[in-house]
Amino acid sequence: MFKPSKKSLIYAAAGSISFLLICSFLAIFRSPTLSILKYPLTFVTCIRREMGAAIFYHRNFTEYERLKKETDTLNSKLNLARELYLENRRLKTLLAFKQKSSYKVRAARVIGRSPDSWASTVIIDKGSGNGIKRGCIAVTPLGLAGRVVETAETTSKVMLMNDVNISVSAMVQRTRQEGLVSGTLGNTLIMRYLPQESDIRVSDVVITSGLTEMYPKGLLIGTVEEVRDEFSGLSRYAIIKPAVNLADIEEVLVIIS
Amino acid sequence: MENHDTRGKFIAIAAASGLFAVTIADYIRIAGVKPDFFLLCVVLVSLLYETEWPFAIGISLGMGFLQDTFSGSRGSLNTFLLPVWSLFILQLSRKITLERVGIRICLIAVVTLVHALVTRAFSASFGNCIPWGTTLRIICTGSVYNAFVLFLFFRYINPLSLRASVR
Repeated sequence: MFKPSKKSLIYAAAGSISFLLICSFLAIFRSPTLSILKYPLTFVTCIRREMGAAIFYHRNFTEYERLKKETDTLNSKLNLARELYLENRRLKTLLAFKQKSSYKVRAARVIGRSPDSWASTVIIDKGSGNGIKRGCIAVTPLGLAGRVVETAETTSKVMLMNDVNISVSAMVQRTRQEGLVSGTLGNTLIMRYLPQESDIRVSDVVITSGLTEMYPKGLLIGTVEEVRDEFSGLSRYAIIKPAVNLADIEEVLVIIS
Repeated sequence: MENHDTRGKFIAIAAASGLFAVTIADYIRIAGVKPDFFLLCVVLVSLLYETEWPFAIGISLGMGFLQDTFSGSRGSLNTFLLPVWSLFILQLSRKITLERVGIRICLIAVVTLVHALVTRAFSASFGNCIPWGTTLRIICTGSVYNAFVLFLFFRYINPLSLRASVR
């Protein structure tokens, strides 16, 4: 019967503890490593993008035609909105309302993604040197994308909405019903803690409620795909389709103030 | 000199697979799961360099560190776990023969499964419970996918060109 001696047990324990300490110590080198690896990652991502453009030429051309038409329609709507904004500003000045400040954003390109399937994070090519701090929100013109969880000098790591570590206080735009949206590591999000009698339907728009300080109010999260009862039967949850296509995200805007 | 060449080749393959995993591998997702190239490199280096365990452990430590750097995981789980896997495979290779491709494929499937369970337990310890449906999807698809990629490696790349010479 194998019986380890006291001496070998002590050596094994000391070796394991030392190894654990070394592994923890190595964590401080992660930020400098990300900064160094930014350039090869950017290079490979550029190549991937160019190859994707060549391979998917026809699809991109069709999409371009569609988007051109949509842009023309949106430009005319934008002009109308601009007129309404100016009128609104004049009226607010008359009523002496305080002006809501707009966000200051920094555009960043995605240069890498999480290598495993247990996290949904992307690496962007802007860091603390560009004013980005931990906790900054990442958005796209379509809606909320995620949150900055780590920064280096020239790169940052953004945790996307469908990561399980993210939870956002949200509400249904139509009924103002509040809930908590979190990720599922898949293509959808889940909105929990909805009362049984809550008024929520398929196609309802879900936005941030502003109750969580770090997420400004009114950012678009997604639309309701399905509403189901929890196993206990006491509450409901909704499956949310994110507004942003998190699997194909290539650029984000980081709100720095 | 020959060993330096093969080690250099392996390091180049490991670096390329790491870059691939972080940039392009998203295109080859199946059911939202992609092959764990870092874990595959660890298993490969342990199988091919069983006589040079410091090199195998060093590569495993580097792969674990890079995986923790790129992923959003808290702590240094992979920095600790991947060298442990390497050590396990090195010790196992002394007890049983791991020459046959079928055994190697089963090994990677089992390693992927246990690695996934440990990762989930670690995530749960921080209060972030991954739903069991998602866990099972990642475990089942990941195990099969990793095994398939390893099979392709042994089928199309001559492992003898990478293997350390036996002393």
